[in-house]
Amino acid sequence: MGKGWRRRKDREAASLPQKTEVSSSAGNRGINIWRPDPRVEIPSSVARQMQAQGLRLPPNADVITKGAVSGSMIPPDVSLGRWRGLQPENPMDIQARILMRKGKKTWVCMGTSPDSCGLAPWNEEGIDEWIGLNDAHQLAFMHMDKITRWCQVHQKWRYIRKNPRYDIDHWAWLQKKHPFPIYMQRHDPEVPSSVPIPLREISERFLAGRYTRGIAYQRILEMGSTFSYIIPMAIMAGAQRIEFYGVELAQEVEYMEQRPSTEFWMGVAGAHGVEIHIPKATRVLKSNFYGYDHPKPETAEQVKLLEDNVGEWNSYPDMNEELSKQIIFPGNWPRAAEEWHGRYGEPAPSAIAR
Amino acid sequence: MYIFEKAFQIATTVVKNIEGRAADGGGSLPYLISMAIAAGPGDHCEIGTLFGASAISVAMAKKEWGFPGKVYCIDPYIPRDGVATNPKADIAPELLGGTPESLAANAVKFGVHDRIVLMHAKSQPFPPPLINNRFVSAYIDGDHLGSMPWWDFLELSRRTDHYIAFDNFEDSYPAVVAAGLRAITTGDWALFYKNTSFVALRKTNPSPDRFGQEREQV
Repeated sequence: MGKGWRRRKDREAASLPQKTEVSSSAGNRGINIWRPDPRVEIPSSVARQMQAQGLRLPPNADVITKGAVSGSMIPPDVSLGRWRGLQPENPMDIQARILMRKGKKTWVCMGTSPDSCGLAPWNEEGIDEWIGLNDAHQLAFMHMDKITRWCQVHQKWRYIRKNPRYDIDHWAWLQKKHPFPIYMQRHDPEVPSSVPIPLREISERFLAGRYTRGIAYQRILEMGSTFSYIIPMAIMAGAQRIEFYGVELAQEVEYMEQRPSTEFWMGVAGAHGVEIHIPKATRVLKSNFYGYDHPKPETAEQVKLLEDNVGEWNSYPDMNEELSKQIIFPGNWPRAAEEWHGRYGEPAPSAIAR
Repeated sequence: MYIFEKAFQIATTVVKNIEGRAADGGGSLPYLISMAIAAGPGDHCEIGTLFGASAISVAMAKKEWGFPGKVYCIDPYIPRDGVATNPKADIAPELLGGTPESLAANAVKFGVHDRIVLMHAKSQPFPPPLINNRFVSAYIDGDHLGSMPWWDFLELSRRTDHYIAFDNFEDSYPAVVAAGLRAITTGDWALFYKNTSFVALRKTNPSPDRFGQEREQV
């Protein structure tokens, strides 16, 4: 054995503790232990009543909403199980959407639904604008360095409140200067990046004189969600393609009030020649094929009478033929690899010259 | 080579002398120690501690290399409901017997009690004293089921500068596997190395801008 080995063993013997008996009295005095105060959970409805009556909430109170993990970054009104299945987008779909963007001024609109926010194309090419909303700046999947516009369309009482479900302060974030505009109802001097939503222009361009209810033309119609402002602003800014990720509008209020409005504006965008892209999993723009395929037969006799009218539509070419040639489906991988090696397999001429 | 050799020695010492048991028989400890040393000086955070084999190993390694930094352990010491009866949660019953006292006793025994801080709380919500902490490395070995591995990653990813590891990245724990794969697809973390059930991710986007909290004023 060399001296190096012995020196190393000596060093180990000096540095590593040997097996020693520890008296039971060591207990937990040996390390620092932090324990949270016992918390009291107060339902949000009770908390609201207490506040209305001028009663102060106890300092150790957690105001909880159904399904919430108090203090967590996870929104309480999202069923916890829905966060499980977040998968990256299928490689074929990624290829397709990159090809579809070519030559088009593309906006990406980020919602916060866990069902599809994970599919966002953060690292893909061909995107001109990224727009986010509300207090989503603190959610883990957001890449704030990519954001070029932001929307906070609520009233001030709502955006200055401290939302107990998050551990950062949305109001403090709004009060900072950001390198992108924050669209709000009006310029708020306390929000240096705030820019008014061009509501009058939106109304005049898309709504005025087109829709009536009762005796009056509707000036403000179908402004049911933040996306109802984003989509017309995108059209006016010259967007040719708008992609939506994390936009599900599947919670109760969203489903009843916000989704129809968003779909209305998606339709308006389509009518103005703007492509709308949503991931396969997204629930908006997804209705039953009424009449042809829905309602479904209920009895065995009715099943026998079922006509296969939908069959004609299965053969209808959904995908642009040119696009389908460009996408490298698994069956075409060998050909693609061969082409790639044919083109790039030889050393570059400059390398040969050297 | 020296790092891994030394890590192996520390792991062996811990496994042989710890009161209680090391998870996975200590098979992941050398990799964890190597990762913590690669992360350099600074604090380490782990979720899921039990008897403290991993926390003590990292603390000993930091001491050995002369790195400043503490090891923050987050563990409520509450056995997960049904864990003993869940066939997929292949956990030895004796592993469930860890207590803060057993961790403290082990820390004293290995001479690293001054480097270990126990947050005797659940990881959700994240313990308030650690909300503004920065860690150089972190280790996720808490609740392996449902969304919890992913939530633990979310909490740690916003506070960790270099490496995050998952234990039990294996078929028996699909939620851990799913969380690890999703972590890689965020674009900010890359697979650094993987042992049989231990996977370490390295931060590739060190921007503090990630959550808009430290954005430079323009």
